[in-house]
Amino acid sequence: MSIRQVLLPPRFSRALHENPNTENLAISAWEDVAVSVQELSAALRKQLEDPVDRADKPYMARELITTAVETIEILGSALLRFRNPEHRQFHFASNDELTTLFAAIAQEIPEDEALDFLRLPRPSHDDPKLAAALQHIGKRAQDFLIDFAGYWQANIQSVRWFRHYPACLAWNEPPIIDTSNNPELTRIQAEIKERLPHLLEVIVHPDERGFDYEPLEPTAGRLAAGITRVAIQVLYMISGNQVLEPRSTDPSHRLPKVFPAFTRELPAEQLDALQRWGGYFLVP
Amino acid sequence: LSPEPKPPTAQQARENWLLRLFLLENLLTYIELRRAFVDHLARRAAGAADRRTAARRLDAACHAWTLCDNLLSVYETLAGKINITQESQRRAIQMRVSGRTTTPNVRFHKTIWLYHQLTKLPDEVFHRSQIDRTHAEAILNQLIERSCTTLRDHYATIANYHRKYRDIARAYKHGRALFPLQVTFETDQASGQSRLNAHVDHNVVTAFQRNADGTETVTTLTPDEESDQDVDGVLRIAAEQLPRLRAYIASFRTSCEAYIGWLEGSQPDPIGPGPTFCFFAEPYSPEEEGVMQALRSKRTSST
Repeated sequence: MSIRQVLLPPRFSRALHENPNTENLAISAWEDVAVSVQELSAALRKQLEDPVDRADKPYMARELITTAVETIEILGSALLRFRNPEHRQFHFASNDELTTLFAAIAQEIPEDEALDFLRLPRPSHDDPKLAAALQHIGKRAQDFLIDFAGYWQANIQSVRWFRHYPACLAWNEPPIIDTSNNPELTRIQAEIKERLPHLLEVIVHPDERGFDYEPLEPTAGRLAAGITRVAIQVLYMISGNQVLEPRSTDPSHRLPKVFPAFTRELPAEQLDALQRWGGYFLVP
Repeated sequence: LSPEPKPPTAQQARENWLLRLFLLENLLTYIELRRAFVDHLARRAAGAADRRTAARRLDAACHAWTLCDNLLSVYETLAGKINITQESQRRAIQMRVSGRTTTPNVRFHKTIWLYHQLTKLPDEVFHRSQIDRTHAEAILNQLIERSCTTLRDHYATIANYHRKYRDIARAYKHGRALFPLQVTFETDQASGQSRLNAHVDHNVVTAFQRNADGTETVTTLTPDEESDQDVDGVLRIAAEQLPRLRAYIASFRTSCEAYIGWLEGSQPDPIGPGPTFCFFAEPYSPEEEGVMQALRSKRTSST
């Protein structure tokens, strides 16, 4: 039986979610999700970068963008839960909730909150190099979350269209519909025709005002894969730091982990301070 | 006596019909690409090992759900003759898809594929094809009946898949709210005491859905042979239907273009080649093949 449903009475539903062990189990085991998203994104990128000129490349780029948006939604739902552990749904956010959340984050997220969200404990050791390194990590976390929020906002409409009802016009179809020699349409068509060899695809959404052109840049897929890769590192960090095992002999289980996306550009002495004085495990 | 309806202007025909047909044709192109992608994911899952297998099967199952959602939306669009140039109408399609709890009746499929037109063909068609009307109509009715039975089965398979995997696909799409947790809830018959247990199991994924009454639906998917077969079933149907849907819509577009040409005075005949009728009644007897061939020849000669 591939699907099984259990209906929990309210008392047991509360007990399940109020038990910190549920959160720990769920988040620690979330690494599987991170691995599979990373694998899917890598497989899509491989197809997109196939030297053969395949007709499905725009589709693959759109799947990559969708994967990036969905990965950001993992972090969005986790952040919603982090801010409000009483949130009605367990690590699940509705479109409206995500819209509000990302609109706020795109403006600002406090550095401390970003570090706490990564489940990164702060060491008590007072060392200027360590403090500088931690500040760098906090700033990176802040920047990443703000960038993710911006990326989500910029792409969610297109992703919803792609997921649910991908009906559109091809770039050359609007003049077949509107034959009134509209000078604005003629201008846009000429512009698109010129740009076309440098684009993956141009689709057109008809709306009440006319035609809304959506060009797909050739770099869009690569950018999406990059966003997914960084978002996955944030997810790994949350998952890996959710529960630490102080008695483990494996430092990657015992110590709080920092992933390379956060330590890139740090000088060697600050990296050393993170390990020596901060007690962090730097993931290679 | 009511006056003859005034024909639309060529521009009205473009905006009201041709635009919709372009949208539908491009929609079907995207759905075909999605089918190929799900097929790729399904094959990738078959080649995986251990923990990777469950994750890859999950990817295939959830993308197949989106494929089903898209196909059901196309059915609703065609059956309801929905004006998809309007955003509000496109949104309403999703509501119609999720609102259907039973498999639609035969009329639904007859409307989509315009089979009722085949029962009202003018005598001229049969004369030109040199076939007896009564005899041909009996054969056409058989073809329609068998096609509708197949289409009902196809619809039921897709709609069942859509319902069965909805909670998992919804959690997958909205931030992968799926966890490798096995949650069991057992009530001891003797004591009446209930026990809740949750533990990590990398072979399953679980979605939590708290309901308005405070209860919680815990849905667990074990990606296995059954889910593989479900995905295969959906892929087979999509592979069978999509080429016919595309040919069918393309034939409408060709007819629409011919009609616009007539409105503009560049075409002598207002009637284009007409729809390409598609049957889902394999295998066909030689007699059935003969009738279908005769009708096809008629259309070719009239174009």
